[in-house]
Amino acid sequence: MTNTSNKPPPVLRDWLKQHGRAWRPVLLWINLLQLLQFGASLTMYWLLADIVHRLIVTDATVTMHDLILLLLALLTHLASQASSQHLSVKLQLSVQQHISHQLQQQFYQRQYAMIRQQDTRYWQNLFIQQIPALGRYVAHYVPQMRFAAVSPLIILLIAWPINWVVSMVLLLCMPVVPLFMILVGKGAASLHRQHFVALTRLGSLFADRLRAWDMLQVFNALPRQSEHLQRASQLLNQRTLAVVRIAFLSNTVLDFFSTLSVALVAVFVGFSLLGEIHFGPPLTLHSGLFLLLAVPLVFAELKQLGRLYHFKAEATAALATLHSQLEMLNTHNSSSEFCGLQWHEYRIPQPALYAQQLTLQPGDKVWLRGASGAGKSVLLEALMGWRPASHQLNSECAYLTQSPLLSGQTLRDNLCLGEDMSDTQLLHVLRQVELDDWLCQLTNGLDSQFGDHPPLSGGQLQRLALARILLHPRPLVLLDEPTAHLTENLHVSLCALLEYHLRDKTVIWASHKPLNQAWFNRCWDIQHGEIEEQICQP
Amino acid sequence: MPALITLTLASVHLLAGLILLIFSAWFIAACAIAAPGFNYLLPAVVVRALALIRIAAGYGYLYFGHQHMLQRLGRLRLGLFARLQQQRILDRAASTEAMSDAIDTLANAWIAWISQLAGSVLMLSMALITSALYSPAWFGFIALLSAMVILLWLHHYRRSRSIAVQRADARSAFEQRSERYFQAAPLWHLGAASFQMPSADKVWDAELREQHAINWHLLLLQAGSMALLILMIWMQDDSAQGHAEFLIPVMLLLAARDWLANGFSANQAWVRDQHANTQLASLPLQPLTRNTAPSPVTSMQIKELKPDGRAVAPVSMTLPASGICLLRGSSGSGKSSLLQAIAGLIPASGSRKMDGIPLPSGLCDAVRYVEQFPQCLNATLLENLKVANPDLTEQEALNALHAVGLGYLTDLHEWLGVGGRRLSGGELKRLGLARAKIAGRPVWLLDEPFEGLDQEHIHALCQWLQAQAQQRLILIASHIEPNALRIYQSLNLDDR
Repeated sequence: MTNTSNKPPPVLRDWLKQHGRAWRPVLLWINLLQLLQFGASLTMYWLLADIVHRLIVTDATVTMHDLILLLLALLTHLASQASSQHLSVKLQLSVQQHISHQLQQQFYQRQYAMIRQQDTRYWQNLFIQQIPALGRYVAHYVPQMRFAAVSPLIILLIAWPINWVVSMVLLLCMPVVPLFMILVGKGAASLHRQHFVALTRLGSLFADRLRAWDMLQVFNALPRQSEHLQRASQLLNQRTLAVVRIAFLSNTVLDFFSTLSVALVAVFVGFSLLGEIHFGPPLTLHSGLFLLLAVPLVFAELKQLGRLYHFKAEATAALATLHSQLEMLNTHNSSSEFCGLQWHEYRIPQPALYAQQLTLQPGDKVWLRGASGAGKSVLLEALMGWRPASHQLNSECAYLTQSPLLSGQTLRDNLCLGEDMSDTQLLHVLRQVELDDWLCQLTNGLDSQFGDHPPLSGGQLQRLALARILLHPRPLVLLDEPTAHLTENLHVSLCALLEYHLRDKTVIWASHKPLNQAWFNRCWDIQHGEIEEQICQP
Repeated sequence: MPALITLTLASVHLLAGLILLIFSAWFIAACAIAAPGFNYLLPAVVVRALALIRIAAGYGYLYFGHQHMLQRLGRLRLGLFARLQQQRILDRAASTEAMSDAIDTLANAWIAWISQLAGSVLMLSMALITSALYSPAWFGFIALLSAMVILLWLHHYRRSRSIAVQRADARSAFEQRSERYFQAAPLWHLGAASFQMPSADKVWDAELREQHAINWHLLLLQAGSMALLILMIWMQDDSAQGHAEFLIPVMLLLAARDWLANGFSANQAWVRDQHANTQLASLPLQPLTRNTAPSPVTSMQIKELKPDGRAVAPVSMTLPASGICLLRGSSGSGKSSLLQAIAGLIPASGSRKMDGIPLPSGLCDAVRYVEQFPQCLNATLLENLKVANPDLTEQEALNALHAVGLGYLTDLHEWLGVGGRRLSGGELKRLGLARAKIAGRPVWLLDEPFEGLDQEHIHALCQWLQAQAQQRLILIASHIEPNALRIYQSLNLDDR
């Protein structure tokens, strides 16, 4: 809807705060398991460095005891890694199911009013792309973000007693890394902003032209569009490279520090071992090798976070789309009793329709008149709550459209709409709407399959739709030109059928064709955007 | 050539990282047991040089890799454009999306998997060769590691393929069922509880299993390489003492996960690549020809015309050279496909004649068909109009806009569509009409031009169409029949 597009896009963090309460324990467990895994690998390095030290430097032999300890550390490492990954996968699925459930609640409440705003593809993509993007963000990015903040500190704490110089070097490097990354990131972001509109415009060109393919063929416009595409793709490549050239720097900064720290530590440890330099506590091959192995871990988790960064970007985009669908307020309250209405100053904004007064009593039969295109369908849709309007019906109605919809695959699906109904019930109603002869011609009876193009005439389709309404009774029935495209004979016979079966209901019947005036007690005339009420006495 | 640079830089980046780690470890060990006179300066320089090489190669790989990717993307897109030139795309919504995804995947091939896989294979073979030459004792372990890695890769590749098949199946099943579900939305009010949204769990499940497969194979790789390491230490006699080189196989095995992990994500990308290739090879296309019919028309005859594959009765009619004719009928009666068949956009049986001369099949240049939902290109307003005539001047464009009631759009260079102004449904209808006006042509086929317009606009549109119909034939398919329209001839498709 229009009013939501003005709001600023929702922030992922706020969304997580609002909805993430249930996921917090799992996220905590994932972090704890990651910590355990981290500890296990540090232990593994420590033990291994010790073994190597003894094998190469001192003459001590390696005992079974050492190897079993190493094996235990390895198993802990593997087990905690496997379980944290397992938890992440479970969490992702449950996040996705949660959002999907919310969305289905919205479908259930707002129904066609919501669905009609977008095409089917859009709704499918919410489930195929957008929801999984949020799932990945919660289950993978969020725990990694927290863990990446903690893990370097652990290394620092452990490295400090071994050699404070190495620790100091790392401590100096670490604030420099985020600082550089922020600087580079800001540069890339501003460059990206400058090019953003151009990039989205050029980037969507290809898919856009494919979508309009038929039109371009009809107007013989393909040669020109090919040239266009070629120029645009050259331009796009230049601009994109200009942006990513800077963006890659943030990646390189991390690589720079992690690689350089390995080199620096190696040289420092080597020189200390040689006795060339003396800073801090004395080192052995054991502690030196351990430091060399542990130092890359300072940056490893940050690097992993960088690799997952696109999860965050995708989730931000997904949230912007989903948010507008999830946060709509439901104003439509249905109660099944219809007890009449009297509205003043009824107004539909788009396309404009206005009524000074609209009255409807239970049992009323309203003939909604107006030229073709005057807005009869608009009014009926607004009454159904499918369009925004100043007032809405507060009771359940049934809506019969100009061209009836086939929903399921079989005749039975189409009539039952998922409810349980007996064959006798269905046959009875089909006889009422005079479709029994047609039914006899079907080879599989009630279970006949409808292809894309059903073997039904327009009149038969309307009877089927009427049968549906008789099987799912609602106190209020809206008819939108149910005989618009039918021949005169069919029009007359269907009108008689409708009049007979809807005699006890409240009916609003839109038609520009002549109807049996005697059956109606009210008329609503639409002319020049205004609805006028008239009482027509039989 | 750029591909080769990408490949080389990726390999150098990986290799420099691994060698840096191994060399550093060796250096430390060598320092710990150094005899007097050990030249420590050269290794220290090598360590720093390796670090710099790795950083430079990393940046270069990203830069050249992406440059190459973008070039490939442009080439692939233009290639597809050229291939589709004489085709019509069926099932547009689904296949355009699939096409651009597939092209993206293919363009990414070198970054996503070729250089990754090549780097891993290169390092594995280098480790094998050096260990074979240098120390037969280590060769056994490296060979075992290689065998294990290759087995894991192969297994993961097969697993990825079967998951990809399941994923594609799950996705198309979900798409089919959800399409039915959403299309039935106008019926939900008759029993919302009975319409169940089909679950996307199977699609998600397949995606999660892809991730799971990578995780597990990495875990196995790590377990295996560490087991080899422990085995190596266990079998070690005291020959290691005083030999810093002992650290080389130790580090190789310890870091195995880091330098071989890329192979698994590469497998996944490789499988996607294959899927993209099959998708592009099996696009739902229909050949489309174009013919230039003699322009002046005195009448148009349609005989027994029936769009292929539709269960509708064939249509015959004779249309005048000028005036408005109306096609009526409920939705599903085949109005749109009949118009498309007359335009020659879709294959049909029967014949079309201009002034008694039969038209060959294919698009007819004298006819302009305006769709029910005219497409707005993501382009400037002027570009959107130039579709109809590339030589259009700005003044002509403004005149055409004014004529169809879009006179308030005065900025011809305004961007429309994504990243610009969005036109409403009614505005799109009129944009389509403006295109027809600009194209001129003796025959217009208009699909539901009145839908979604209010009474006043319909009235104005009728006046305008009336004026246009003095010099051309306008065939309108519509379920709305405005009173203001003087109809020369009409046909109801429901009557047959």
